[in-house]
Amino acid sequence: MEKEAQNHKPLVEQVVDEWLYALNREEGFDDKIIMELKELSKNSGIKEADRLIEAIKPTPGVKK
Amino acid sequence: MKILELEVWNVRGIQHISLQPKGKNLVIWGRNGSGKSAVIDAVDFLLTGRISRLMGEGTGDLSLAKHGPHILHKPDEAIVRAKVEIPCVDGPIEIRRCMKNPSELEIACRKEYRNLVEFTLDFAKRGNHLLTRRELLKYIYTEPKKRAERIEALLNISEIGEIRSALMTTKNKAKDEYLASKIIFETAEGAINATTGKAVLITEDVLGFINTNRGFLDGKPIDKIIANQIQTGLRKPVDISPIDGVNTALTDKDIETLLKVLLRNNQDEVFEKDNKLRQVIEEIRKDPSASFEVSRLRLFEMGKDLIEENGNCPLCDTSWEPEKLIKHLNNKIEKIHGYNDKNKLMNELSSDLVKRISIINSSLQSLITTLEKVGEYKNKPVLESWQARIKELLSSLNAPLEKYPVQELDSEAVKVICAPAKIEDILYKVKKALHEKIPEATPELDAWTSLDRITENIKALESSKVEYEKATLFKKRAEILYDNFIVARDKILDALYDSIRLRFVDLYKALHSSDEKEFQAKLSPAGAGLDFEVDFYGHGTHPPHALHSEGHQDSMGLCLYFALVEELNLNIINVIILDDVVMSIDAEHRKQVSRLLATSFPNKQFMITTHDRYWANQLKSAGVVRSKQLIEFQNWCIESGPQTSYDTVVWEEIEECLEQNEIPAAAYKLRRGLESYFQEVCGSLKARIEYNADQRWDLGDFLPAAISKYLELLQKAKDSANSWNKRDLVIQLVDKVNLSRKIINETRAEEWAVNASVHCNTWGENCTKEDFAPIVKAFKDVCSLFECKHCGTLLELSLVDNKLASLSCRCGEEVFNLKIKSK
Repeated sequence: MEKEAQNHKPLVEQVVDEWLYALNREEGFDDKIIMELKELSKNSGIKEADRLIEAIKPTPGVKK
Repeated sequence: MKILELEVWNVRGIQHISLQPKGKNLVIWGRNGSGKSAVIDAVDFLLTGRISRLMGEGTGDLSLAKHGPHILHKPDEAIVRAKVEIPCVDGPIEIRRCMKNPSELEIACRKEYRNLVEFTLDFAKRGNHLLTRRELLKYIYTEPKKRAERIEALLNISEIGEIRSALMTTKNKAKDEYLASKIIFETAEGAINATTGKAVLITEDVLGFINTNRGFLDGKPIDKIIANQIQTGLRKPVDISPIDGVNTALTDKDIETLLKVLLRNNQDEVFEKDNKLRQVIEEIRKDPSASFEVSRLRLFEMGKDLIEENGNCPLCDTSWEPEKLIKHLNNKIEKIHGYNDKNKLMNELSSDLVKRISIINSSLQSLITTLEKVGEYKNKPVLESWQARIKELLSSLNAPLEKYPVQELDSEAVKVICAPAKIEDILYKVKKALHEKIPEATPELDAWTSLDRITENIKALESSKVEYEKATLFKKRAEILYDNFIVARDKILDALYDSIRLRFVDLYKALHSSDEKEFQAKLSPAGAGLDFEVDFYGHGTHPPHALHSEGHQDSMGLCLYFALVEELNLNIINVIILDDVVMSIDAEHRKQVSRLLATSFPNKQFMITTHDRYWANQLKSAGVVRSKQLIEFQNWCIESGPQTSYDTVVWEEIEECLEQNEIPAAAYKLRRGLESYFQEVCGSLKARIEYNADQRWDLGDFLPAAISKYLELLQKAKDSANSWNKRDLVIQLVDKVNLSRKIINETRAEEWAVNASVHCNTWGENCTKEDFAPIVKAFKDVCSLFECKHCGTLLELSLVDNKLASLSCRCGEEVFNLKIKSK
């Protein structure tokens, strides 16, 4: 039974996995950004606009 | 997980009750206020630590601590205990929760099962097992956004909504930053054009302007525009202007630029572009779904490549006619491309207008700054007011689809913003005033200040360009982030919703096959909402509460809930509580609901409450519940709560009464049970009962009607067997009729013993166990005639086109054909 639940990943995780996989193929999304988004998806950071902005916003002087 | 035993102390309207569902379905029926829902609340509390009825909209000041315990008791006395069965765990697990510590669930189980048990009970905590009528209508009678919230909460996917919302905020912030930086960048471009006196920014023109001015100052031409090299290697003239960086040549140029804008041909061009722009914006705004579809372009393109060879949908396995799905997707893609073309045209037109208007803004800005520097304030407010309106227009042109005031302003009004009435006179007055305050500049000084200004302009452009590029990248990333999330969400949820939809349609059709054989439904995310539409007798799809009756809406809510709960509970939580959910469904469809519950959910444990005795009996007839799990709640009072009685012939209880020589009690239970039982038999066999004006019938009405109909149907079965020449069956039926008559005759001799007042007359008091036991046996035997020995359900008469078809039980072990072979 536990296995059944584990196999049936929560929908939110399924969506996030699919999303990160798609982002991997996008131009302008290097590994660093993907890794940061992955980290955010492990906690509630993915639900905070400020943390998302921090992850994707080009920083002055740094080519990201 | 299923419930085996349930014991409740001092919860809501119950002081103490002990029930034994034994993992099977349980039906509690009784009048309103009989305490049924308190059992539901107790189970809800035990599994979740909450009582749903005390939460949510309209519950105001209600609280678990104050309104959860029985009115005469305190939270520490309000306790619910149950023994539950969990797959893969040996033996029952005992769980207990007290209202003093509602978040603490006490679990008594062996150490090795602890994780599994806790995991299961955590799952139960989600509270997806309870459906009340109030909840049921939330699926149907609601707007798409609220339905989506409700279903998302049930599917535990509200987090997906939260992520989408954070991504949307990110996208909006990125867009705002982009628009702000774009305005700064375009203003910087406009400032260069204002300085050079050109309409469009071309590098060669700027270089020409720089080198011409450098020539006045004995400088060599430069071939690259680098801000800090523009004034290098020059002879700096003596500045005769009392104010640094101000000369009439520059202010004349600004005024000249503005006067050029006011020329009729320029205004006509603005008018024409604006007209075209508002047309295309209106076209795009007419179809708001198009912009949503754009975000799914990639999904459609990917989907096209994935379509199976037979043309079916790879996501939901829906069958499509060959090529039809490809055509459907191509239409969508074509529509998106059409939308994109319009979008491109809109951006081109708005960009052109932005360039023209930016020059006005930059020239006005330079002029206003100069007026401030020289202390000439007379006409400054007019110019400032003009600039404010120009800035507003620029801002709307930078997000034309969302902001351009198509309805609020017409092209004529836009023309007035660009060229206000009598502004020409004002500009001439400003020119005159400035000439009076600033001495005429020499050509060298004019060249130097022009280079000064273009250097500033270029520095501003360079720095705004860096910010603009960053903001563009930020916006692009935020859009990709959001769009990909929507595609991922739709891919996962569309497949899920599709499976829910298909199950919903199947369940609904099972309930309404008689009138809605071709029923279909649509369930799809739309923005933040969830569109749910159902077919109305082949006349297109409509919201569920638009045309269907209340009863049909209740059926839909029920079926949608079942379809959802199957996705949710994954066979981990098998308990489903239905609290008075069929109120608006008519008797015939309730019968179908009963059959659905009995046949479509073999692994679920339903706990059902109802105030309708007939529905309770239907549930029993359909085999949803056995006699021992069909309980009547009655005579509720504050002090003692409900009295419970098993609303059918509970032979074991009668036997117990006999053992204790309590004959009146046994007689009472027998009569009451038989009355209920034969009412149900009459319904099942469609037996006729004499009409009674007071609408009250008793055993004296039900028993003879049931027996007479039963014997009549056996005779019909015999006639049918004869017509089909089934000799063996005829012999069996003759034997069955004879045996039945014998058994029935036994009870006829004893019918007096179960008359309405037998339990309180003197015979009842003086009667012994030996006297009454044969009577009980006689009635037990007669009851057995009407039910299947295998599945225990009542034999039921089926009609086809109002003609007798068959007499059968639910499992099919006992089937008698009633159709006569046509000659």
